[in-house]
Amino acid sequence: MTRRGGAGPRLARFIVAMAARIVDARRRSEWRREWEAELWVASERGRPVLRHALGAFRHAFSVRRHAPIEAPAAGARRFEPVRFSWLDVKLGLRMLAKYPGLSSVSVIGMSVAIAIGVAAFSIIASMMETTLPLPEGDRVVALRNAILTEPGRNRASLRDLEAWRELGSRPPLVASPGRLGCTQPARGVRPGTRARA
Amino acid sequence: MAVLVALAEGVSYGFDIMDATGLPSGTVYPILARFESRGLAESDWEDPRVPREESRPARKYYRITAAGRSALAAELERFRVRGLPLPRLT
Repeated sequence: MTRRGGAGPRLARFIVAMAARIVDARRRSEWRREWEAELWVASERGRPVLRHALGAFRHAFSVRRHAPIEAPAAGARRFEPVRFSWLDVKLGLRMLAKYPGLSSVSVIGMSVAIAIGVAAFSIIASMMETTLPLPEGDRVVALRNAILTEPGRNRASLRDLEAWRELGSRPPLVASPGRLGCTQPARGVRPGTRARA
Repeated sequence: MAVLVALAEGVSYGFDIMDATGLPSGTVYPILARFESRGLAESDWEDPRVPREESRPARKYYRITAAGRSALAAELERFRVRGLPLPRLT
């Protein structure tokens, strides 16, 4: 039997090989044989082989979905969750008592590893999770403009953000657990504007 | 339904079913897989001597089952009652 060369048929065979991974392992070789024949015919009849090969994915999914559920073969290995046993605990403790040197090295090693992990996490967290430049900035989750004179309008601009940043470094911005209040008009913030935190 | 009609007409090879129905491979083969799982069609590999003589890969042929024929008859009746146009093979 002749194998057609060229980039198209080669790519088509590659596509079919990829799609074959979707099919259940027990049916894969037969499924692939069928598609090898299909590609051969497509190539023989001068049809677009790549387009034809793309259909293999839908077929593979369909075969997988409609595969009958078969009972596992006798002696087949099945997944079984690990069961807790007091015997394991007893034997573990006995081993630790029997080899105190190894036990202490293990305990010290784990302690050092945990300490290094915690320190590294703290440093990275402090570098990456920067707080907003506001009093109690770590507690602020959102900033919002509420124009008291015009209740329907509630928009914030980049200029407002600049104004908030500027206010954050100065006393006029009043912070409370629930709210941030602006006691004097700032650039880009209308009088009576209130920011929520 | 067009695929079932094609099978009933004796078109048994996947590629020929595509040609007869005008449907793409991504439609025909999943339908055939579904028919097989529901017992409406069954498939068989051709005699290995034939492809060897013709120097080509072996083909898998599909054929309609008795259940498939009765399902097709019921479907055709439904089409007739509703006055829908019956699927035609190209």
